[in-house]
Amino acid sequence: MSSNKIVLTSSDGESFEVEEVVARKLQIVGHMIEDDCVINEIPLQNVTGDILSMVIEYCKTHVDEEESEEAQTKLKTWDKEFMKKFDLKTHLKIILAANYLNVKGLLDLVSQTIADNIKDYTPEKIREVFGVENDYTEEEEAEVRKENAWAFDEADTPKP
Amino acid sequence: METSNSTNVSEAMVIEILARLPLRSISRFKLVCKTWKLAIESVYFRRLFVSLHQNSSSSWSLLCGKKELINLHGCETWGLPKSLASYFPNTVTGNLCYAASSSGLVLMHRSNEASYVGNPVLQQWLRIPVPPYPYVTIVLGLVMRLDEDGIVLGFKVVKLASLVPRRDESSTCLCLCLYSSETGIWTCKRLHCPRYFTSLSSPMSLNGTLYLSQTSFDLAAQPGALMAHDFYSESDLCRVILLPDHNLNHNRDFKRGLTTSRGSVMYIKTLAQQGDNLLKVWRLMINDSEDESWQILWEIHVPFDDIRYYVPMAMHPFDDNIVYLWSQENNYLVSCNLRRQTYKILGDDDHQDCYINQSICEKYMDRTFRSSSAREYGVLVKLLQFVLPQWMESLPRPPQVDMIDTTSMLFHISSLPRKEEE
Repeated sequence: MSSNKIVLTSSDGESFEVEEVVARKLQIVGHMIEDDCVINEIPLQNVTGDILSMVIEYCKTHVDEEESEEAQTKLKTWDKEFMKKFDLKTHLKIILAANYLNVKGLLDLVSQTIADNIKDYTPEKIREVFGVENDYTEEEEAEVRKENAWAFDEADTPKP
Repeated sequence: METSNSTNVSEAMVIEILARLPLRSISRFKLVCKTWKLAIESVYFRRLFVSLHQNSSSSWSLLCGKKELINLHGCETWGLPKSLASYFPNTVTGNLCYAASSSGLVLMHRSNEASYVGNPVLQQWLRIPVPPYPYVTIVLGLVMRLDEDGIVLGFKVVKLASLVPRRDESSTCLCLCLYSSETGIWTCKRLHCPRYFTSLSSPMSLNGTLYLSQTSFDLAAQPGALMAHDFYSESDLCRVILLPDHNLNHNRDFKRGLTTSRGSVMYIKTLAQQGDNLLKVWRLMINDSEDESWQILWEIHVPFDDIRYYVPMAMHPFDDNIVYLWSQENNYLVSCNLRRQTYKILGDDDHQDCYINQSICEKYMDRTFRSSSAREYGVLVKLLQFVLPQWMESLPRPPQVDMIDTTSMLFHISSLPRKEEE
């Protein structure tokens, strides 16, 4: 059964032929298979080809997760190296795709990676990266800053 | 998907990312916008954070008097760049003593004039008024009321006004003053203890319960028991919990430590027995009908020259496989992993996240070793353990009472009349 092939098509028309076991790692696909509404080709509306290929690469590597400590360590190292290949902007696209395609392991991995990368950012830099509007008045902002002074007043907080 | 970035990262995704950050970053990112602040302060977010950080390290310290003896500050949960003690400016520790600690809060005081309860990292303090009674009181401890997630809902400061042992040596009565964060007032409580003793050593607290024991100088009493009382119960009785394996006629070559780890009271004992070096650890179990019993966790032969020169100093607050022994001969601290049976001397350069105040430790341990009754009843080490909580809850406080920051606390202390050091 594992030799069954399934074709996944991205929103921009790129197609990927993968084994069913790999495709099942995308829970969105897994559910479709269980519901018997699959033929061989699945269109994925909310993800572009470049991101989908990364998700597939992750799923291929994680397809048979072994329990042994050695295998786990090896996978963790691979995860780290895999994440290092992309910048923050790509990470944010992967997190959306992982959420949409419902790949729990990848969602955890990319969330932690983003967290590790942004932990020393200033609020200003965060607004820029996440495209968030500052809706505090000057007084409100000063008040919140004061309440959370312990998180700011270190000399070693990197400047943006 | 749009080619441009970021604006379409949904709130659910933002929360997934934020919950994986250390508390210091989370706290800073409340400043991003109102929506983020609201999300961070929600119960949902707090629970997600705690569940994701179950295996992260949290910073903790051993405190005594004005000093910090040991600090382990590899702190992923909080993301603190410095040791815990460095959050107390010298001017604070120069004037105040650590008097009690529980569930991430610490009580600092200067004799009877000024007491403060707070979280040193968050720099939030509550000034505790002087009890309105004409007698002198000493701090016994700090107890907490927690919700099912372990979040502090309220605290009580417990002070001892007098200790009255009955002449027939059958029991002891404790007259206590209690300050509650819920009411903001002091009340009196009389506690009956069905055991005879004439002095109290610094107690240990776990949630709402205080565990008392007599000092090892108390020659009138047999020092083999703990007295426990839950300050959030209606009872006015102390429960007596006999310490396990306490037969003085049998063997007096032992040292003891009492502490808490993973939400339980722990009793550690080192024992020299017929040329063998033994290390034993018990956990206090409490069943549904509130009965206590000791469960032995470890009984291990340790590969030291002579266990009589080692004292159990602490246990890892989050890992009951790890015990810290102080070597009196060599003046160093050994971290013992009882599961793996590995033993490491701390303070070497490869332990950057461990700080040991060498001279203070030596002084404290020398004093403990030298006390004459220690030879009679076995050294008993009880240091204040300060552990940062799993979440940055804000300080519970009575209605109409304001929180103050560390600067205001310092200002207040400096306005008090100067007093000579004892």
